[in-house]
Amino acid sequence: MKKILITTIFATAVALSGVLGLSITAHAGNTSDTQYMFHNTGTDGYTPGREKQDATKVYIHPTSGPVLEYTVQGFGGSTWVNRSNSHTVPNGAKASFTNYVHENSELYARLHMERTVYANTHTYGKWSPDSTKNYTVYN
Amino acid sequence: MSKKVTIVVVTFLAVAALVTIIMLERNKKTPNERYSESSDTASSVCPETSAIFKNTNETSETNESSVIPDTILNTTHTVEYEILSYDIIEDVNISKQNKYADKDFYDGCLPDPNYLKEYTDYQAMRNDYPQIDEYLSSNGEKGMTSSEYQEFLKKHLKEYTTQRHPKTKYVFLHCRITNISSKPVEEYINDMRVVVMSGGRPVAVREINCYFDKSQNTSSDARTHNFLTYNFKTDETIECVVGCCLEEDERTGMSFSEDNKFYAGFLPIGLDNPFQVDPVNSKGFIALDKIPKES
Repeated sequence: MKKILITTIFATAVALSGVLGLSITAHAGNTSDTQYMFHNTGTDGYTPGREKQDATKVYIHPTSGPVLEYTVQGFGGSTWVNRSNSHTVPNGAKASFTNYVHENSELYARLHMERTVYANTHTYGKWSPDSTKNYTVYN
Repeated sequence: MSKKVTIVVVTFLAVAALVTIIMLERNKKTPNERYSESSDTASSVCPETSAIFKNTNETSETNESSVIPDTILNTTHTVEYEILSYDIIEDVNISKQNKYADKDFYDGCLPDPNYLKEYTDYQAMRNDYPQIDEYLSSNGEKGMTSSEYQEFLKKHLKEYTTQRHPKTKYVFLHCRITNISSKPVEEYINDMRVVVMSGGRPVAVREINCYFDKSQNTSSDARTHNFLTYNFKTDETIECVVGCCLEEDERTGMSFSEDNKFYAGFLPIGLDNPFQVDPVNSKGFIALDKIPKES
């Protein structure tokens, strides 16, 4: 009987918490894309810094233009520091960059972009500092 | 405990739960119902809000309290933002309000007023495990392999992680956004920032991150990546509400107080340190206390 009572109380609490919306949820990271562009007459450039909210991979999706080499950087309050290895990513690829921005207690991430060929044209792409799933992983 | 008492308690709890569920289900409204209800209410109950619309359309009328400030341009100068009014809702009230529909939040549901955020003390972890420090300092090149690091996290991450609810406010901006270029534009609404100043310095610089009531991308994967992206046709204007979730954060000195001043706008191109933004003197920002606040 005692078991039934405990089970009933527990089941009631669970049922009510669900109905009343008391469930605990975590906030999603900063997974919305923004666009970047880079003019390939310059040797390198940066995206604006964006908030990094968790330890997930950085999403990079180049869409057109010459291929670039990307490095994820983190900002801790005074300077930007490389927090990933550098990789080239082909157009159309969806890249998930392993990075250590969050683990270094840095609040912002950005992309450092370096040209691979000189060209009087832009490279365009989209990126987000956090992600919900992994695509092609670049360690 | 006697059998009788147990049966009475069990029966009472079951009936109480059933009654609560029935009552809540009866009062349940769909997001659309709540949204249309709030639109009706806005036109009849909020005279200040109505006045904003009137004065926006008739800018020559000089009611100083509702003069529309300068518009701001996105960083590529292709899209013009006019902020008509703003609203700030505290976390404890976010699930009680019916002005902002749950379907228009980034997560597709109303934020949990008591949501818990995870805080991991990586510094303590690194102090306790030098090989982790070496691994993280070298961007995964030294100390251990990637799979060993993942195994370590599985075993030890929880020891260094706590959960707590950060005090949160939701800032909603009622905007009129116009494509002023002569061609279609893909606009990233989350390029706009809400900056909180306290003691004369920025303590929060946050993207529009949690609400957009004109999203064109609401299916699962598109929602994740492009909920805040809008494809403007040539000359198109939309009137919309966008929202930003602001949390207290001791790392940046962000705490809610009377001293807070809120700004919305765009970071200058090439700004290296986001916390060097000067929204007070920058033409790219609008002070929210200079525009009407919704009641």
